[in-house]
Amino acid sequence: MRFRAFLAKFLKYGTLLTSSGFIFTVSLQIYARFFLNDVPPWTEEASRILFIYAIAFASGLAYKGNYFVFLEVFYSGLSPYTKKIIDLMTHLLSFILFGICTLYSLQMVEMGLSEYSPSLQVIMAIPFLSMLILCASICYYSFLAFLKKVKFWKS
Amino acid sequence: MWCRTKQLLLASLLLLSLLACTSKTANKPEYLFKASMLVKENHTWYKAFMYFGELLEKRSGGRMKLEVYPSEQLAKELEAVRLIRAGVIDMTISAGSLTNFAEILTFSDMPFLLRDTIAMHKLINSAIGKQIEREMIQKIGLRPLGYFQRGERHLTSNRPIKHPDDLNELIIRVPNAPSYVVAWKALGAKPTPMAFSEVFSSLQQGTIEAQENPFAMIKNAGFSEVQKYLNLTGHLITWGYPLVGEKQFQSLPQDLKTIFLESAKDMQAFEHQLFLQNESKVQEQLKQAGMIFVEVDKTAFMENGEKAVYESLSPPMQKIYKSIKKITQ
Repeated sequence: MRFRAFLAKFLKYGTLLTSSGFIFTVSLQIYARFFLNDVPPWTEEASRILFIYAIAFASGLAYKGNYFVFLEVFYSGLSPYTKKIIDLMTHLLSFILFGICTLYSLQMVEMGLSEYSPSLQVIMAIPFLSMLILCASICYYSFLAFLKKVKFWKS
Repeated sequence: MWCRTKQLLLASLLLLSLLACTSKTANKPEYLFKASMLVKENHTWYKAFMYFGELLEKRSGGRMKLEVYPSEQLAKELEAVRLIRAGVIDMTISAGSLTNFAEILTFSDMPFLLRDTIAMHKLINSAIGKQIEREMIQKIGLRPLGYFQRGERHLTSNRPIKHPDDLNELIIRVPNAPSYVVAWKALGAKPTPMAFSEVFSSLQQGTIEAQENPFAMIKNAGFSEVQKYLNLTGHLITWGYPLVGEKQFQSLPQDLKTIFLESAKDMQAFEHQLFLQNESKVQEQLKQAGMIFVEVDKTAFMENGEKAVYESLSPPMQKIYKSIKKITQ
């Protein structure tokens, strides 16, 4: 329970911080293009990394809050039994898919240790870490959602 | 009704599974290489790789085969390099982007370093050129199979630029690489790093006033519609390495390795011929599109730009820079 609360907070503040950072760097870039003599070359890369992180942090939360696209047109026309199967399979398949992605993103992070970004000169393992955050958080929340559905359909 | 739909669904699923099972196992080669290309099908690099594939298949008696995927279908340039290292695909073309893995590769994409293509050939065939190739194998795990010359980069603008003094805070789009920013700043321009996909609309809207690229890229991107002058600065002479993953190459038996390397040599010669034909054709097309070619004071550009680029390098790279200058003089 404590871990769940910590993770939700971590993702929430992560999303807020990276989104604010993204807005700041893009604004700085636009301002510099029009009003300053020098455009800091790092802004383009920083904005890209911050955007990716904002998505990575927010995806798990979106899954938790059920904010993803939901095709009700087809779903509502199905029988209760098919609905039950789809409900369970959706979360189970998401869990399996993102579980596999989590394992592969670990490999990517390891590969990123020997690569540097062109202008910020940070090791690429840092941007690649966003994939791990995205996959692991969706994997965790899809598992919880699966358990919740099992409980619901049993009752 | 529902029963019938179910039957139909089941039948379609069965048909799909059957189709998925059919494969040409009889024609399957022993070694299948997958190459990711940044360029389109009409580019000389793509044609050269297709030719390379034909040579491989013919000379190995069908034991080796090459599948070429153009227009970033498989991955973008850097992603392709990562995929090769992960063993997902096998080949690509790259050079300057590899600076992220090994600093020495910075010399393959450095403005105001080489005066002409003779200097470029001298550098590639020198001890430093061999050091670059060694580092690519050891540090990145990619084996270069030769090199493809890229067109010189020139500046396009809406006012003629003959001398660095004419730049006078001209807003130039540059790729996101520190050496470009430093060099153009030293010349008196206002360099703005920007993604290539944004360049055309930014030129239209006036966010930037100029950009620099090789002839073929200027033509392909349609910059002649928004830029009047093509200033022949030739400030960057660069090349691309056709690359294969070292792990993938080492997995070949000796006889196939020999065929692979010999075919690569023939591919390089074939591409060079295509490149020369293409360069003159593209220049004509740009002139016909209304662009005015402007001769520039190349020496003045070189003198002002190279000092700034040199100062932006780390001490070990400054040492190599001096050696390159000696070799290419």
